[in-house]
Amino acid sequence: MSVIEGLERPVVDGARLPFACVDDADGGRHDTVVKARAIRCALSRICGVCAEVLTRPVAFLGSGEEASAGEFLFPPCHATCAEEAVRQHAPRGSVLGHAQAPPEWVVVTTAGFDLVRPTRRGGPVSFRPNSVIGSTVVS
Amino acid sequence: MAYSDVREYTHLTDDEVEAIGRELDEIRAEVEASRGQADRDYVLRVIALQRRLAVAGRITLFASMFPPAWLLGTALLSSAKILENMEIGHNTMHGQWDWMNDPEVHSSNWEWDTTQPAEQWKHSHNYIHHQFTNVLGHDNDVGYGILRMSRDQKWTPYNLGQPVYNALLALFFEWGVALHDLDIEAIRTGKKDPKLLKKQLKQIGDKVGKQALKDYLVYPALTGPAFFHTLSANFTSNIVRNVWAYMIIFCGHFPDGAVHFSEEELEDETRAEWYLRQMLGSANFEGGKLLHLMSGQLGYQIEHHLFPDLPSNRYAEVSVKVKDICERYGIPYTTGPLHRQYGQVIRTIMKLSLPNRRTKDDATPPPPARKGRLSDEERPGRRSELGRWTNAAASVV
Repeated sequence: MSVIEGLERPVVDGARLPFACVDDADGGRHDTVVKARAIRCALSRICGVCAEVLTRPVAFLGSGEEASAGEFLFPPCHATCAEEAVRQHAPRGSVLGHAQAPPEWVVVTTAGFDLVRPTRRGGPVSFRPNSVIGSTVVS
Repeated sequence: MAYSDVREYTHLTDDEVEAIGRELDEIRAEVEASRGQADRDYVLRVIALQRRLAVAGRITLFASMFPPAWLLGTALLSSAKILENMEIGHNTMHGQWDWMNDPEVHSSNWEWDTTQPAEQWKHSHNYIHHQFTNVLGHDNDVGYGILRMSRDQKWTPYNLGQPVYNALLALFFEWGVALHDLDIEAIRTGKKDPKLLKKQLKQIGDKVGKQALKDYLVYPALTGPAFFHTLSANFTSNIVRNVWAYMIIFCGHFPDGAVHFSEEELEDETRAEWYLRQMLGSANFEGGKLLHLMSGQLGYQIEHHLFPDLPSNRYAEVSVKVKDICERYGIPYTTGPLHRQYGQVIRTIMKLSLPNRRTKDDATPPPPARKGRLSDEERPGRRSELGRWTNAAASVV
């Protein structure tokens, strides 16, 4: 059980928010990744869904386009959390930091990743797997 | 004095800040593109060396009732602990070696030889310290919750004891680090959730128990009649490691020239602005390869803060390029010999034990002079006095 501070995940619209979507100010939304949380996940090495310590390999969850580009909006997570999140949230539409659910969800596993900070003020952070092990389409 | 606007402090234009960001991005890309077998060999060599030192130290301590063996064993074990904490553990937990996909040398698996649990370190150091570097009120590394390290921090009579607290922190640094993520300030002001505090203390307690069992029971017991000599050697090794780690870490952010920041304008900062804040808030020290190895390459603290997840063995080559950028753009690049940097840290700790009115601020650098062409409006008017040549010409006429 993780012991670091501020790891509560409120239930919003009938589903528990992924940790990276929790907003300390207003609770958070399913379609928005909170930048401060995303950075915290990357640097503290914790899962963007459950907030527990990451394990090797690290997983990234996103659309087919994100997987092809090798850059993800949603922070690193456990492979099992990624798959469970898709099963639980995919029918909802706007989920896991995406305004619209992509046609297919892809889980890319990697040993390491880079945190990409924004080049413009207020821009989002993103994540680049740097040693990809494999990828799986999750439905 | 703490600064709230990094851009304004450096007098750089928006274009200049972004140009610096692009140059630093290129440095990062170069290292990433060339990261490979040589880097892997480096870290595996260091781990092998560290393990040999530890084994040699433990074996030597079987004869620890003889003073030379006690001394040699303690020295070997101290070196092993320093290497493990500084060059291996700290850097591995930053994810510097994750790309290798090694089952052991990975940020999610490494548990280091000190009392703080890795999970809490990754939060307090990787996130809090590296994200909010030198931001007063956010970065717990600014004085570890017990020392006043900036003139912008309120003075209280408690601070009169700083020289003593500092000495105790140095000697028992691993305990300071272990309690780091508890947020002493929040506990002191009653803002800490008691349930969370209890959970954190339990995790620390479990780690402390394992460390104590290893260093103060199992290894001493293995040496039989030398039990108490081995125990004292292990204790001394931990103290040596503590003092060394404390000194290296304090030299990273508290020598003259490293800037503190008073406001959190972090939510919206660009990558280039983030780079700039890291460079201004950090300080290097100079030395040979052995010194850099034993300090976990934190003599390149500026480079470490710019690229905390790049392999530490590459910081030396990166530092040449970062220094060049700083010189070209007129940004301070704080560095100096270790003894001078640490001397400045000690002076700051001593001075800040007193109220501001009793001391003079000589640690905060003035903003650097602006580089580049000034506009005509910004230029001073022509000087009106006549020079020697003019006087001579006038006399000819």
